[in-house]
Amino acid sequence: MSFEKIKHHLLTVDKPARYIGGEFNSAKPKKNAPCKFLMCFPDVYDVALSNLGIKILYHLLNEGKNITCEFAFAPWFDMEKLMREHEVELYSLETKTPAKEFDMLGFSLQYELSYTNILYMLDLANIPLRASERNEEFPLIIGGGPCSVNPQPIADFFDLFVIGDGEDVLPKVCEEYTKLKANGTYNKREFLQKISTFEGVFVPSLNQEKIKKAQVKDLDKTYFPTKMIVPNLEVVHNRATLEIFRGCAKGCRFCQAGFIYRPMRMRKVDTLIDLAKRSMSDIGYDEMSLSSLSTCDYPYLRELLQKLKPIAEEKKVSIALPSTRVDSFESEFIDGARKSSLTFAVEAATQRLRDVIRKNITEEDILSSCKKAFESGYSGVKLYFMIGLPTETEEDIKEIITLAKKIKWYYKQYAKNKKPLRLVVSSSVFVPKPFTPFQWEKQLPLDEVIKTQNFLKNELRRLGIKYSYHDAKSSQLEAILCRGGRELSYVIEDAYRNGCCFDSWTDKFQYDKWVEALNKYELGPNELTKEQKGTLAWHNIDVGVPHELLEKEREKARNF
Amino acid sequence: MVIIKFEKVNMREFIPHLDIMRVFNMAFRRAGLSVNYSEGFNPHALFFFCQPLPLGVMSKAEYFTVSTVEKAEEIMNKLNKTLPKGLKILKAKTVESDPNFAASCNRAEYVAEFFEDLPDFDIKNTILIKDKFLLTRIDKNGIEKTKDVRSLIFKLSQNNNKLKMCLGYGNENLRVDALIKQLFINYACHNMVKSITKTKVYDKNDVDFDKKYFGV
Repeated sequence: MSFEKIKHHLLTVDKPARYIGGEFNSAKPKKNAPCKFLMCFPDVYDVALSNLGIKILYHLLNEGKNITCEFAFAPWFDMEKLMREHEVELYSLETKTPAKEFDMLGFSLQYELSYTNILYMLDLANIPLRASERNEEFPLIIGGGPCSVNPQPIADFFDLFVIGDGEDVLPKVCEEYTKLKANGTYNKREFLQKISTFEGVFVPSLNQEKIKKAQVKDLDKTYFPTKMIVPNLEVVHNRATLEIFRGCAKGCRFCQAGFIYRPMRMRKVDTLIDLAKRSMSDIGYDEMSLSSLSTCDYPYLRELLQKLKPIAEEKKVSIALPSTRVDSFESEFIDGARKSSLTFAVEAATQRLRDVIRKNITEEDILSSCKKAFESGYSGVKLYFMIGLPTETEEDIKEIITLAKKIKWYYKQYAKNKKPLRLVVSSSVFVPKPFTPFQWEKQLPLDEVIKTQNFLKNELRRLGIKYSYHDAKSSQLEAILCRGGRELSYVIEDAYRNGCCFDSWTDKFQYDKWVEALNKYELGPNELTKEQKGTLAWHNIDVGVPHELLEKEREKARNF
Repeated sequence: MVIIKFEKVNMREFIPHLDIMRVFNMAFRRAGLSVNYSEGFNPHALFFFCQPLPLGVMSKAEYFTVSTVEKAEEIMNKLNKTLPKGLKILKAKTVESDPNFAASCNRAEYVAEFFEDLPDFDIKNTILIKDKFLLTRIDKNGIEKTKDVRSLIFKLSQNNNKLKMCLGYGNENLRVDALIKQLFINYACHNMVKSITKTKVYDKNDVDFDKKYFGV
């Protein structure tokens, strides 16, 4: 086994526990399963095992008697070096089997800046990057996850994509493969032809007119694992997660997740209680997160919390409510929880701009929530804004300062805590995303983003308010990659060959190399982030949101 | 209070100490065994461990105390079903109060195995008859520091491809990996470590922890 070659050198790399497998609740590999699936996440172990989607699919696939599924993640640079030195290929965590020996590699596409890492993992597996360069000897390369709604920039690297919810269609794809392999009639081309008729399957090598996303109809009856794999190390989100609903009740115009996961589908309270009980005893975390895109919009939240509380208390498990929105923030939740910091994703500082983006909160909501929170002992507030939103003016930016000042004043008036107020303003850069009403919009040019960031930095520093902001350059690349067409595959490959990898890691991001790669193909960042006209790269994908609806929403947005 | 002896093998030696404490906490919860928590702002489960094991070192003799009302036997049976492979409870015993392993441990025995036979270090006539053994390490600020650790080497012997050591453990601690590294520098030896295993823990009177606390 190739892993044996590096086993005794593991102490030379950072966090060796990332590479050893043996996680509690990891699936027992079925040696003779006809369909061997390798679930890949193009980032390091700690990030990968914080993702819920791959864990659901991993356990689901392993339920099938003909399928065995293992994990592989992107090794950090020190491990890459060790592996290359000893000629060890990318291997699976569970059985240390080389990736190449699997029938399928499924990549989770969570963010565009992980695209070079897909190539990195294929490269480490000694698998040719382009689908056209791979014969039947090589595994099928599959993509899925939110970025697959516009798969074009990476389409040439993949044999197929599963767009939408994977729970129903992915096992079907594996079963079809098993069937053909068993009766000896497997042929890659014919297999791809066959599965291209399945809901949600996109095969780049075929000319499919329209691809409708796959969708689980009844989430309440949809599989959810309770014996979930427990990482060897403290990872980013180290807690049990319960998906209470899929989709979002709101329709913020900038938010891709709000559109592509439609419609909103819920699990019933009793189902959730049952899942929670089993998760607590099968996993053992001391924290359980009730996860969704906007948890406080779950209509039975009160009932769920009331039933869950005694169970959690007995097991000494604390309940976390992520994605708590300002407008659904209730003081009753504040009372029980630890009094630390409030987070508001305000996005825009003026009511006009909030109307443009359809963010349904008012300044009064924010300030009254702050008042309640301050009165009950909170001393920290985080405000998230987006800069470069469509129709944004100087006024909208200046109002960020005004809002911050008001919160400071409120703290002086109402604070019970003697600590000084910790106010943090954060800004990200607006990225126009496919399948949102803003999919055609321009992104604010780099120099203007930096000018705005500098303005905020100076003004907020004067007020003693901490300011943090997302890098403008990586946001620009995100905008390019998320709306790009097939031609971008050459850019991505060039960038990777020139050393771009782990682009989502700020200190590893090499903007200049990306610009160089774009320029080589006579593409410019400014050109690609302009307002889009004509046919969009994702025109043949149907996520269930009609084109007309997006156009209508765009018009409405422009009228504020 | 229950005192526990466990082993850490089968690649679990690459799991850092802090994560091991988390693993036990989770294993107790999975087993449905209650653990007492500390009071205060940030309650944490009451586990009392000894000096952390260096990363990459296996152990057949790890000890900790847990504050719980559960029976020792129950813990032993249930926990071994909810611990990941490679972590195993070897002994468990109910006690009146926390014996404070961290304070009473004094030395530990290790066996290191190498891929090839070692050169003759002539340990008896060199290291052991001298009253000094200098260990050089680079601290976290990148500054080289040299310390005499002779008093922390209780036993040291070699046999083919094995080194057997008894080293200071606890408040006065000598890391086994650091000692091997220094030996190899001193003797210009490049042999590769196959495994290092901690086998026993003793108090200052050279009494084995198993005998002292578990009676066997």
